Amino acid sequence: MGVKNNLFMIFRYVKLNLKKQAQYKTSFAMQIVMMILNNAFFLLQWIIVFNITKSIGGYGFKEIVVLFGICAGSYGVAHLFFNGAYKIGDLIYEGKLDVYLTQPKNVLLNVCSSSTSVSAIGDIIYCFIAFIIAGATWWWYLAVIPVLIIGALIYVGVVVCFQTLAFYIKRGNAIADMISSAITQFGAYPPVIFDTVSKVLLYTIIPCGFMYFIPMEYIFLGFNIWWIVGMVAFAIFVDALAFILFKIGLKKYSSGNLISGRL
Amino acid sequence: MKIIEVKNLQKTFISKKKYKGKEKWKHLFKKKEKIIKKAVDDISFSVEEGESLAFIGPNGAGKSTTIKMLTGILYPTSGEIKVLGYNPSKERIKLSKEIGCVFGQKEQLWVHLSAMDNFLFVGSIYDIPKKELLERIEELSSVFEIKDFINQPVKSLSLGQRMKCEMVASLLHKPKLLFFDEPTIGLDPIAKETLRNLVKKMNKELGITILFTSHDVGDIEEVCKRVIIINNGKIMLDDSMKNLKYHYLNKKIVEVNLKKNIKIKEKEGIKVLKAKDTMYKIEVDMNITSMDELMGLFKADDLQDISISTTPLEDIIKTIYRGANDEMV
Repeated sequence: MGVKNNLFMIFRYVKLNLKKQAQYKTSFAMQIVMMILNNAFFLLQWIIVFNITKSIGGYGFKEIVVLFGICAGSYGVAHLFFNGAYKIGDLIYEGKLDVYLTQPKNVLLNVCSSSTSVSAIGDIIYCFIAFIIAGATWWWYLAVIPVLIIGALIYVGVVVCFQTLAFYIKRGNAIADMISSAITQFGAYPPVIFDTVSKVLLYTIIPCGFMYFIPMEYIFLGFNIWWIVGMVAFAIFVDALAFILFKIGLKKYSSGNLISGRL
Repeated sequence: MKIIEVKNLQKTFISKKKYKGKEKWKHLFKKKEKIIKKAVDDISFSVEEGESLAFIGPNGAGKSTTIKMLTGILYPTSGEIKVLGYNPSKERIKLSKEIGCVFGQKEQLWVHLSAMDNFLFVGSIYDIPKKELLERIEELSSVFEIKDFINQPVKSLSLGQRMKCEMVASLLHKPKLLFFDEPTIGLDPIAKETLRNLVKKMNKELGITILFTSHDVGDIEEVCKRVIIINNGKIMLDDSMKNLKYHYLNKKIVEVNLKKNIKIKEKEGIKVLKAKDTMYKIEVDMNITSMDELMGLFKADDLQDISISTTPLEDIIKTIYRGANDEMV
């Protein structure tokens, strides 16, 4: 019942947020189209690179297209369903968690799902366009859905862990923004270019490994239970850590008296 | 039955001292001095079921901090709180299903959506079954007279209409206790009156316990039967509105216009507040001075006009805020 009600709440938030933003139809459509174009420009850079060299450590254009597709897709799912996670630091700093604290829901889940980014739809569409360009088989489409969900959950978990710094440090969310940006930037490059130290980082605090690199292998090489177990276990670990850190941090929360409203 | 029980509640906020000018550079790498502010300082009180309590105080007195601890928004530094039998810090989710909050300065509704969409959303947050929710919206929209604008975006509503919608949203889950934090702020006198009547109705007809904060004395005078005045984090007065008026409204303001200029002698219980030509404004403490004594200050023949009024409740509260309540009793 609890899981069902929480899922219902998440989908209700997405529905309301999209309904709210769809009032301005042109702006709504433009945000989606612009995001698809923005991602497409990234591929243009790789077309130029692959005109010079055929592959980078075994990674060709097709692999890069799929890798960036997964990267954009995970980003899209995270920002479509849990865009509020990226605003937690500001809400803590400005003392605006009060409304969520008076509602009978888990505060973190409530805050994370309270906001939706329209451009995230563009990211998700782009992911599937990228798969079409790469000549995806039916297995790729089947495999990418859980991959995007798990990747988004890891992404949101990491971001929340760092956003909770705002309970202790003023503008602590700047570190979270930096980590969030690093995840999308590092994830768009083939893993073979990174050295050992970088790889340690990419499988811990900037977990592109679990979000993009393992999933890509999983998609290309076929079903492997251990990869799935690894990704799910890491997602559970990061999300559990996020919930614990947020709960501890809440004791430090000092509400604000600023006049505010929900836009 | 006690709805709220608070014992020795304290909340302290710790901040770091800010240095200016050269001092700022001197302390750049030093540990900064901590400043501990007691926002709520060892307060105890209880609220019975069905009561309507005004919880008032000047800005920064600690009233909002107390309410935030009662609703589970803030963790207390020490002390005990039981609201509807729950510990707000540990059982926040269970508690929030049985209480409602209306914050005048913090809107809970999504302004771009219609009131109806907002109510449906709030219903899903409180896990109210759809059929039951629609019936409840229908019932409350009749009571609060919001049917005409229920499908309009909240941003297009007047402040008064918006506050009505906020109240409906806070009542959808049938709370037993309602917290109102300055709900009439910014409202015009008519909207204020409507809102006050609705709060009274909720208290009397629906039996909901009300805890009300406001800087508008008219609100508390009309809505509440009991008042707690808090200042500097401490409770300065906890009494019924009736007693407050009885004990503190013993001072009368007498304004007289005489035919000629006379000298009115001040004595205990009689204080001349203003004297200009033949017009006098006198404060009379009826506990010390009788009406006969007052009338003996001037001859009846010299009297052109007289008006006697009670000290406004607002002035009394201001005096209590200033900590001079001992002087008034």
